[in-house]
Amino acid sequence: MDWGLLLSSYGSVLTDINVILMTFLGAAGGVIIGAIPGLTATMGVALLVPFSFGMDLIPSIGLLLGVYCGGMYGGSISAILLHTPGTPSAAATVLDGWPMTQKGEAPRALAVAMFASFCGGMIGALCMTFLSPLIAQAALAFGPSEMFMLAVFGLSVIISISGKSIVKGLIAAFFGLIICTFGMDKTSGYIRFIPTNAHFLYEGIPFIPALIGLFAIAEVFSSLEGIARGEKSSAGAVNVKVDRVLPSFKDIKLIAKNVIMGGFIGTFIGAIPGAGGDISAFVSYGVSKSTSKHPEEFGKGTPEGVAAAESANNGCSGGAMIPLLSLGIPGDSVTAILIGAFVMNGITPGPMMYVEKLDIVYAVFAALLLANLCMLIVGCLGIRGFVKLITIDKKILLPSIMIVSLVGAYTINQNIQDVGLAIVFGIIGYLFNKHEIPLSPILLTLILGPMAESNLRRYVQIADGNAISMFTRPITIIFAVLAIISLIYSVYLNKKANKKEETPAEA
Amino acid sequence: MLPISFKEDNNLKKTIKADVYVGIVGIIFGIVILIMTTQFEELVNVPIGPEFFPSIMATGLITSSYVLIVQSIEDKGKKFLLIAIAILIAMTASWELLGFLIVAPIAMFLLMKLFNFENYFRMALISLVTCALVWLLFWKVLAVELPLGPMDFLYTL
Amino acid sequence: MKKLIAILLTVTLVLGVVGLASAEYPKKNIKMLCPWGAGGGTDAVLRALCLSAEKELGKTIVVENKTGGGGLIGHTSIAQAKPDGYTVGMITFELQTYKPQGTGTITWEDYIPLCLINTDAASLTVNKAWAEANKITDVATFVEYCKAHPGEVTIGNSAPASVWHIGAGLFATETGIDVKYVSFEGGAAAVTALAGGHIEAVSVSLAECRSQLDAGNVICLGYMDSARPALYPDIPTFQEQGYDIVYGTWRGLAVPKKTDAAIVTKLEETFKKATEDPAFVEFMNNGMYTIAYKNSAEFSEFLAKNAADVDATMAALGLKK
Repeated sequence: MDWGLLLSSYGSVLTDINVILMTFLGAAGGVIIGAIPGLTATMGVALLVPFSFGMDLIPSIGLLLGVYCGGMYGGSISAILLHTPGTPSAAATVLDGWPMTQKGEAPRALAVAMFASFCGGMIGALCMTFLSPLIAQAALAFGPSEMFMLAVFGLSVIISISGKSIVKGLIAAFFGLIICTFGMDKTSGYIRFIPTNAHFLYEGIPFIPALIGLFAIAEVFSSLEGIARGEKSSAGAVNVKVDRVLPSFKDIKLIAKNVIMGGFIGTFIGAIPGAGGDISAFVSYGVSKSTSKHPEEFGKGTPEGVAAAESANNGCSGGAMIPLLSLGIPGDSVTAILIGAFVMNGITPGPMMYVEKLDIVYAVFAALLLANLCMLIVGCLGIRGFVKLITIDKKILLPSIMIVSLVGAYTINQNIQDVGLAIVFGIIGYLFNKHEIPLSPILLTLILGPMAESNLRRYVQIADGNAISMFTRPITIIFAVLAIISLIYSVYLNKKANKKEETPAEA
Repeated sequence: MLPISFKEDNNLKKTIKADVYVGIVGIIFGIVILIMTTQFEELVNVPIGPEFFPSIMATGLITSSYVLIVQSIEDKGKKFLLIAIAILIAMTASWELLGFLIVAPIAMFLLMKLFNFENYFRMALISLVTCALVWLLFWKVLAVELPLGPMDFLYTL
Repeated sequence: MKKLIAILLTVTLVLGVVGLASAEYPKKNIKMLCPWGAGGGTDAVLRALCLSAEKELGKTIVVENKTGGGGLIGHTSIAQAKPDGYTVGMITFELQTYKPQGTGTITWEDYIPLCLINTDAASLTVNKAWAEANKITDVATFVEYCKAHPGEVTIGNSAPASVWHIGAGLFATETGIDVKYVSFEGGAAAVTALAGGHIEAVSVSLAECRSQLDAGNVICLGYMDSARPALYPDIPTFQEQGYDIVYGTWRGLAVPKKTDAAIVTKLEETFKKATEDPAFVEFMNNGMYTIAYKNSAEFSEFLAKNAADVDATMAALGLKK
């Protein structure tokens, strides 16, 4: 490691006012884009790439990384305040963030999310600086069978996020695993379960409209029903006094373990091409719950859950940069666009970059650190404003959410059928809510189902139909064992939690 | 105190009844998907076709919906009846794949458990011996070769 | 005489109005439809092209990504747009696959092709360690190996029935080898699997293999273009090695049928100049996209031949309905 070069690169980035300004602007824009359902960090980065053509490389990378990191945190704002993940990566944040808001702890949840995002992001950025070539080699070892087992391991989290009834969690999961096969099969091109003229479903159920329907629209439906019946809304008693913009020392102590674990889980999963922030947040949540002293608090509004999810999805941004820079392989959809931005500036990311353009590599690391810092500042400045969102009169807020949601569903593909789909999913989500079937397993399976299926079939195709032979591959075995442990342990935890709840009632 | 607990009880009954409907809807959806997968065209040169994954998941949905229904039924008589039916269906479905000598003893073991048998060792012994005798009787006396799946080699001995 | 004057007047008036109309075009901003997502290769090329074209046109060109259905939705919306010249769209290779595959009914004949912008040739790239272990150095030794080990070699591509899947199929049918085709999610994923040694070869574009090629994890055996790639003059073409295969993806512009001929000419000129803009040329070179301008008539001819080729290869691969 060339310390002199590292320091000089960091110094030149962190003192360049132009870079700082661009990164800050990016972070501020990213937080807003991320907070609006339907607008994702991916989209923000894609729209900004043409603008960055005229700029120097480092300021433009700073701008794009600012959007990336800001967007990752921004998604949690609407997840916590409105029960709507602003981006898919924030889907796991809803699990505990929304109950915290219902308990009147919205400012606390936002502060925890921001702090965890920042720490996760820093862990990712530091791992990237020091461990990048090492992790990059590990990422190459992930072929179809390893990806399949990773997806299975991710799916084992379903029990953790099922809430009280495992069976209902499984019903939701199988429902998700079935509908994720709708559309054109990614391995053979065969069209499954949809009419052949439903072109908008060819690439599968569009994820963002489904997410908007299941969470935002379903929530508005439920609230409408409650208000029409004259029930007093629970969020009316919300305490929105913001005493502090950073979490209290007590909270930091509580979440420290989750944040560190989440940061590393996020970095590692982010480094695997094809697995991104959404998966890492769920995995981190599951692991945190299994290792927590109070697993029964998860899902009822514990800062630990929010911290686990948010630190992982931000750690992911550092992780995803590792294969991008050292292998020239994008780790997720945002880095796929970033790679284009590098190429346009005449730089091809890849192993040679560490040999020939080390100064640029270090400058990118520095820009990522800076982006996380900017995100923290934007978050601190904005937190008082964000919280005001839930003080808006429900008569105004709920219809507004409805309209913004539908626009969000339209924007992603600019297709009116997606809006219809969001409404259908809104009704499904409403019905699921009513029967206490958890929604998060559907999201998780929509992400992991296709990954599991296509990688399994890809492997079997390469191995000439012999699926069992995947158990001769060490990484595959490790993930299989992890999946089994995680399954058994979370079933045990669920039993224990249910028992704990029953005992005082009987006494 | 009394009215409150009475009211709660009512609510509980309501959600339990609703759970049965959820289970029924889940089973219907799963069956529709299963039927649709059987209509898929056969693709050549593909070891695992496009029907594989959805049909497994549909089976999973049907199973978990069934479990939900069983869980929500309070009457022990009906509950056990449903469990027994599930055991028989599972046995039938896996019969040709795993073979009579694996499937039948397990099914019998579970059925005995359902009938309140307590001694696990005796349960295991009785189910194994009974099934083996049934198999031998059908093979040697009635000349019916029950499918044995991976244990088919027994017929060549 | 009066009649003649009247006729002349009318003619000049009409001509004048027509002339004025085309002189006035474009009166407002132009919408450019992109059937693929923001941030992808097609989107990047199109946005760079539009930046250059705006300089010529004096109006803003707004790129709208109309995605989904494997590009089918975007392609359909271009054909069905109002033919007033204010909606232009980028059409890509995938257009040729919809009808043979039975996913859609739309073909290139549903448009007025404006111009071809770029083509990217397919390559045959293999894992270096595997190639060295089996003494594979060029296309001929690769074919030989495949013939000695039928059905064992796996060639990765970016999606079922994608341009690179068909490219591998074309190569296999031309050389009479039996290989396995495995589809990944995008070319980059296939190259990753190749570099990790999970598959033996890929048939994607050279740009997608570039970083692994520079790192020496993979080697390119052949390039399916008529000339060697400018940035890698050491990579031989298939034709040089005695295999007459020229194949690749293409991107071009098109307007809906019934668009006014004067507008078509105007747009054709504008985009011709845009492809010659130094900023655009630099962009394309950096991204390893090959500029291959063809005017409306040449482009139509190219499309007709390409459609027939694709149809035949898809039938050979069993991808045709």
